[in-house]
Amino acid sequence: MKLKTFFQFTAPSNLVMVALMIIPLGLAIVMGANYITYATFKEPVFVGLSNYMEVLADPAFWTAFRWTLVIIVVVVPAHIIVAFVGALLLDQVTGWPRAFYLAAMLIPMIVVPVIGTVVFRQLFEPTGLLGWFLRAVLGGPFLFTETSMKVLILIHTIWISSPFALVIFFAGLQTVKQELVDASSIDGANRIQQIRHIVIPHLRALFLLNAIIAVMDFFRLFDNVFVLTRMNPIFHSDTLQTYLFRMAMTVKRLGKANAGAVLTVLLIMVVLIPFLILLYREQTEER
Amino acid sequence: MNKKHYLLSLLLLGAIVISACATATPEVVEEVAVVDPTACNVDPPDAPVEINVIGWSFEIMNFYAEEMEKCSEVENLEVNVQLQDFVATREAFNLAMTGGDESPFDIMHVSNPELNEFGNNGWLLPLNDLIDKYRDEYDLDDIADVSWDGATIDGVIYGIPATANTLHLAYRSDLLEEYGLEVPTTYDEIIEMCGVLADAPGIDLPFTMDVSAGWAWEIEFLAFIRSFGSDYLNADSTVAFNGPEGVAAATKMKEVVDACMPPAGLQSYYEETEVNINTGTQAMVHIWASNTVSMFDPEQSDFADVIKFAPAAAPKPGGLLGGSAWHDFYTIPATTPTDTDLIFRILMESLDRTSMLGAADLGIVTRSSIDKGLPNLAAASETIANGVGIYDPNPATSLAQAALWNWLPFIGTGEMTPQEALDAAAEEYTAEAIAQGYLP
Repeated sequence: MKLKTFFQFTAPSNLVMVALMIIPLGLAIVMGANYITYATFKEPVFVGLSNYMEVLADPAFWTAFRWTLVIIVVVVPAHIIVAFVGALLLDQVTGWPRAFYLAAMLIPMIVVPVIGTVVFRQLFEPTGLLGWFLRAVLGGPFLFTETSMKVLILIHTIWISSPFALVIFFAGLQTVKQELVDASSIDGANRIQQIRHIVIPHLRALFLLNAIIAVMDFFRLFDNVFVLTRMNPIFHSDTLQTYLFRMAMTVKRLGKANAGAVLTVLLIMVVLIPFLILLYREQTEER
Repeated sequence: MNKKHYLLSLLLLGAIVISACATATPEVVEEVAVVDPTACNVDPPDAPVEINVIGWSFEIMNFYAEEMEKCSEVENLEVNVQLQDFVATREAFNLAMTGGDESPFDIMHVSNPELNEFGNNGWLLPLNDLIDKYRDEYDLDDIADVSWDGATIDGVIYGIPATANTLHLAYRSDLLEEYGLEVPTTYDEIIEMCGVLADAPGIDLPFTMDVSAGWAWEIEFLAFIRSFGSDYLNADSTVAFNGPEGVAAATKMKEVVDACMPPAGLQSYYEETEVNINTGTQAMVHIWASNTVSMFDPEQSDFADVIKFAPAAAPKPGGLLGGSAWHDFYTIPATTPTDTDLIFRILMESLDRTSMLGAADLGIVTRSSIDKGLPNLAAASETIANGVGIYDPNPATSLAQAALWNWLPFIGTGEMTPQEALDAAAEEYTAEAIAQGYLP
C-alpha cells in the first residue's frame, strides 16, 4: 500500500488521536514546564524541567509508583485467571441461563465505580455484613490497617477489572474451532488438556490484550483507592493518580501535577514495551 | 405493503401525535400552577437575563436554591440552579475561574476554605457596597457578626452567610444519668467519662471525634490548637503549629484517642458514629450539627428520646470551646457578565427573613432574630459564639492544612509522637510555602 493511501485511510482515526491524545499530552508537557497554581493559572512562569526534577526527587512519588507496580503485578495475572475461568464456565452454559450469568458477571462493570466502592467499604465496617461476620470470627472488630487496606484494594481491583476481561475471553471462546476440540476428544484428551493445548494457545493474543489494557488501567487507578482509603496516609496506599490528585487539588501545584502526569505516561510506556513487543510478535506469527 | 397497511400506519402515527399533544398540555399547566409568583420581589429586567447558580447539595442549601428558582417567575428572568456533589462543584469552580474571561456562573455557593482561597485570588466580587445599599431592605444587620467574620478578608466582604455549622456534643442522657456523670465541659472530663463508660454493657465506643482521615484530624486539631491559644501560622506565614501550644494540643488529642477510642474508633467517621449513637453502641460523639438530624427522628433512632446535645467541650480548661464557626455562603464571581445589583437581589431574596424562617427547620440559619430551629440549636449556637472561630484567611493556610493532613494521622497510630508529626508537617509546609512564594 502506498504511503499516501495509507494516510488517507487512517486519517479519521489519526485526527481523533491527535485531538484526544497528542494535543492534551502536549499541553501537559508544556504545563509541566511551568509554575502554575490555580491563582496564577493565567500567568504561568516557565521553569523548565524543575517540576519534573521535583517530582522525581519526591520520595512520595516513588512510594506511589512502587505500590502501583505491586497492584499491577498482583492484579493483572489474578484478574486474567478469574476472567478466564469465568469465561470457560460461562461457555459451558447455554440458553437463557447464559444471559443471566453473563449479566450477573458484568455487574461490577455496570455499577458506578464510586458507589460500588462505597458499598464494598461499608461491608467491612463495624455496621457492615462482613464486618459483623469477621467480628464473630476474629473475636474483635475488623480494623482497617495498612495491610488489610492494601488487601482490600487488591481484591476490589480484581473485582472491578475482571468483567471486561471476561467478556473478551468469552468472545474469543466462540471462535475456538469445535472440530479441533472434537478431534482431541477422540484422541483421548480430557477437558484440562483441551484447555491447555487448544483453548489457551488459540486465545494467546487475547491474554496479551487483556494484560495490556489492565496495565494501562491500573496505572490510572484512582476511584477505588480514593474511596477505600479516604486518602488517609496511615494506609500508605497512594497510587500514582492519588499522589497527583494531592499535588493538584490539595497543594494546588498544577504544573508539578502535570509534570507527574507526563512522567506517569512515560512509566506506562516503559512497562508496556515488553507486552507490546510480545503482541507484535504474536500478530506477525499469525500472519 | 398494501393500501390497508399504509392506512393503518397513518392512523397509528396520527394517534401517537395526538396522544403526545394531549399529554403535553396538562404538564405545562401543572408546572405553572405550583410556582408562587409573589415570592420573588425583584423588578423585571428590561431584556431577558439568565442567572446561573452553582453549589453542592444538602438540605438547607437545597431549600435556598428552590427559593432562588422562584425568581424565574419574574418576567425576563430565568434562574438556573445546578447542584452537584462537592468535588464536582469544586472542579467546576476551578475551571470557571481559571478557564476564561467571563464566569459562566453568577452565584456560587462556597464554604470558608473556598471563600478564603477565591477571595484571596481576586475571583470574588467585593459585596460591601451592595450590602450597604440593601442593608435596611434585607435587614442585613440581623445576620450575626461571627457569620460576617467568616465572609470577610481584610475588611472586604465576599459572601452572604447562608447557614452555619459547628462540631458539638451529642450524647445518651440516660447513660450519663445511670453512671452519675455530668455532661463534660472539658476534654479532661471526657477522658474521665470514657474511663467510667469503658465497660458499660453494649457500649463499644464511649466517645469519638472523627479522626478517620487526615482532613478530619486537621479539623479537630484546629479546635484544639486554637483552644490552647495558638494557630497554624504566624502573621508572616511562618509555622506556628509545631510550637509548645500545638504540641500540647496534639498531645491532648492523642490522650483522648487512647482513652476513648480503641483502634476501631480511629476509623469511625461522622456518618458511622451517627449510626452508632442511634443504635446504642456509642455514648457520646463530637459531631457536626448538620449530621444530627436523624437523632431527633424516632423512625431513624432507637434512642431519639434520650439523645441530647451540649456545646463542644473545651480542649484546654478555661480555653475556647472545641468547635469552629463553619459557614456556607453565597458569593458573586468577580467576572460575572451579568448586572451584579440584580444578582445580589436574587440571592438576597433566598436569604431574607421569610426564607430563613423556613430554612430553620433544616439547619442553622444565620439571622440572630430567628430563635426557632432544631433541638441542637442552643448547643450549636453556644459553640459557634464561644468556640474557636474559623481558619485564618491567610492564603498560605490551605498549604498548612494540606501538610497537617499528611502527618497528623500518624499520631493516632503511635507511629510518630506529636512533636515528630508536627515537625514533619512544618517541614513539608515550609518547603511548599517557599516554592509558592509565601515565604522568602
